[in-house]
Amino acid sequence: MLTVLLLMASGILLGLLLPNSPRIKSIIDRLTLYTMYLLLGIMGFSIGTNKTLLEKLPALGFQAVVITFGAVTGSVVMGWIAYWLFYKAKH
Amino acid sequence: MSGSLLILLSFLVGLVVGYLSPASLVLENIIAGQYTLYLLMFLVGLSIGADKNSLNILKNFKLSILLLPALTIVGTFIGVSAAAPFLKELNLQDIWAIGAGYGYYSLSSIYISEIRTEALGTIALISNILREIFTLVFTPILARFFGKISPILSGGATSMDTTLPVITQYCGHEFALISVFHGTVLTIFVPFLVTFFLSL
Repeated sequence: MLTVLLLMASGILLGLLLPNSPRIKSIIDRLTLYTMYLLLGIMGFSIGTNKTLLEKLPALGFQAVVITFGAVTGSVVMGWIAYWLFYKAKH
Repeated sequence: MSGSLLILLSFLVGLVVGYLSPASLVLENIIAGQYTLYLLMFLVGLSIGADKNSLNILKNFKLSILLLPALTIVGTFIGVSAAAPFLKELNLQDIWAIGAGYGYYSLSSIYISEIRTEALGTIALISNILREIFTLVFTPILARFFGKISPILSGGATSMDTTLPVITQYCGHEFALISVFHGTVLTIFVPFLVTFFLSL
């Protein structure tokens, strides 16, 4: 966790030194997007190679899906309320 | 919408390739994922620094930023409690504990396996991985229809790293630091809340 935060902090500092140019911003955004696709591919790969997890998936997966659905729905509703209360109302 | 599809596609391609590959590649793959995440964090930092508006939102948001992790905890608690009637095999404390992983699947599933059973730990693992995948895939849609905070709360603890790039991309750089703060606070809370719910 510390490595991750330090890397990001150094990125922010370096970013602040960059000139304020839309071209540079769009290059960084595109690089971020491609790296993100790569990381997701690797994540999928991890799960794909984990045969024990894949075998157990149907049996335990249903319960997991139900819990995730509840957790995410509750959080999204809270986020929606927060957006209107704290952010949208002021802009 | 096309953002979600590309994200899902990258994940599915990885899944199929992984399924067809020999299992011996797993370790190298975890290391590769770690370094890719590091690169991604650096790039996200760079994009925050390069966008001069990113830091302004901290001034507008003030106290309410501190409230967001609490809203995720409350929202998740209410949501999983509402789902409990569909999960007759599990008791309420276990369901709360699984929810309290907030996407931090490695740590929460280890705790739950240790304190309860392997099977419950596996449910926690899958459930929290799904939370991360859901956020990665649906952030473009959530940001559009449910406001730009909902992807952060949906991401839970992962809003500080794995789901941060997609949140930054679709909610804007001005939400990046809020997202990091939110995820960091939840990451710290996960071990405490999981063990707390299991002790009830």
